[in-house]
Amino acid sequence: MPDDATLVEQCLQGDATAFDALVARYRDRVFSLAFRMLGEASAAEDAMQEAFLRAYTRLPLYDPAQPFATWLLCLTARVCLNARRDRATEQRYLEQAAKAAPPMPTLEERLYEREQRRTVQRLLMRLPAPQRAAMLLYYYEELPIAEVARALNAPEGTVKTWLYRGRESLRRWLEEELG
Amino acid sequence: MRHDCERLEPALHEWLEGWLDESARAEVEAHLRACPACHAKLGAWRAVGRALRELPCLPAPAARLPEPAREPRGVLRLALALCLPTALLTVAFRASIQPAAAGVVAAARRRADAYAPVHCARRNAVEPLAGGDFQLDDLVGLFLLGLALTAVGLVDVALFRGLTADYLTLFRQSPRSAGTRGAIVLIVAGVLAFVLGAAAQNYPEESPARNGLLLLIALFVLLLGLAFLIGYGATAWSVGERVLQAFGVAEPHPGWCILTASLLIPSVVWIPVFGWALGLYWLATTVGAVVYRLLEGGLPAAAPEPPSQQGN
Repeated sequence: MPDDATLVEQCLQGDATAFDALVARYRDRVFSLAFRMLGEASAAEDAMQEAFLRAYTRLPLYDPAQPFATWLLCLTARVCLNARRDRATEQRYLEQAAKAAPPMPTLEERLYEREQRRTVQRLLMRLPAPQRAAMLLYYYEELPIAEVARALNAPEGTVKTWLYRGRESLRRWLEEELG
Repeated sequence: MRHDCERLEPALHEWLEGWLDESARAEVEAHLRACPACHAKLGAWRAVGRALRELPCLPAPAARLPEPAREPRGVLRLALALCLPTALLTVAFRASIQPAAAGVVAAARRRADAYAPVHCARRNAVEPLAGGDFQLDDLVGLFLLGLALTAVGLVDVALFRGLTADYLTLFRQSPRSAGTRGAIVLIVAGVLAFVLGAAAQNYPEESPARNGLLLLIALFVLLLGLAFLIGYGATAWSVGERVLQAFGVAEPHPGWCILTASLLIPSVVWIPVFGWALGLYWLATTVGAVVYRLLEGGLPAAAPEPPSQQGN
């Protein structure tokens, strides 16, 4: 199985199947991160789509010195933050969901709902978006603090403060919930 | 002790992450040895970190949602991005631009007449900067500049947020590359303008060839100005966002970012030497970003459709 750098190189040389391989490799991680940030499967799917689209069109700007996964996940985090900002997009999600709502939830949706009911995910959604993004990139994706700061366009000190506040809020809420 | 706990709590978190230096670490460790409450909090924080790390990776759904609606792309988008801000700026500046332009033309004419001895050219180049030929009132000009830049930025973000975000990404990812290319383009443009100007001197005044060459120089300068405008939206967004974030606004709306930056940027660019250098830097990075995009990044329209994610 070729590594990420090789696949990126092939993709830049015009081999479209190389990008398919990258998508196959990272789609679950990208989707998971988007779901953790947005808290809704359809919005996360849209964000995943947008993240891969941007990754593809901006591949010539990718710096090979940085791991591809880090670049892609940072890009996903930015897409998710922008998706939240964009009220029109949110409205579109609602309209699409209303149009596409099936009479009975599918197995996948039931699984997502069960996942969403999990306490940590629910409490994560109560955090302000930048704090949530910082927590997920640092703890969930285990990216270095410098990469998190770059992804969120914030100084490292601010990211550290977000991490502290986010962790303390989660601790407090968890203790309230679990007694 | 409780006062100490509150004071040390942020440091306690930094200690847990291993971000503290030697002296701060010793203070936190001394406190931890004597404070069971902070010890317990540390354990709870560890549990929170573990819970986040152990969140399962979810399988992405196989079905694919319809692609999100896209903004107009490629050449059309670039052309719109160039024309709209320019039109706005022209309307807002009309009263100020005309006398200023008249001053520049007068200075250029004198310079052309006195061409050959270098010191004459230098004297004439400095004169308009000193205000001799400009009729632009400083305060009114500053107000109009702020107003126009705000309008340009707002329209840019409202209509071309994707394009602006692209440039923003380019600035952040490779400002050095953009700056280098911009500097090269500016130097080439300068040399070319000088050569064209020198060539124009060989023709008699008011001759069609001379007027054509002068028009070419004017177009050249206009193009550089337009490139500067494209980058304004991205720069103002970035500057405003940073300023507002520094004041504790976590997710400032792009409109507020532009407004904030438009209050700051004209004030800075107005400062002699430093402000001009900053303006020149913007011009270089913006022109460089355009060149980078055209030559290396490729226009968005040229990029093929991404491969399907289905069936993976």
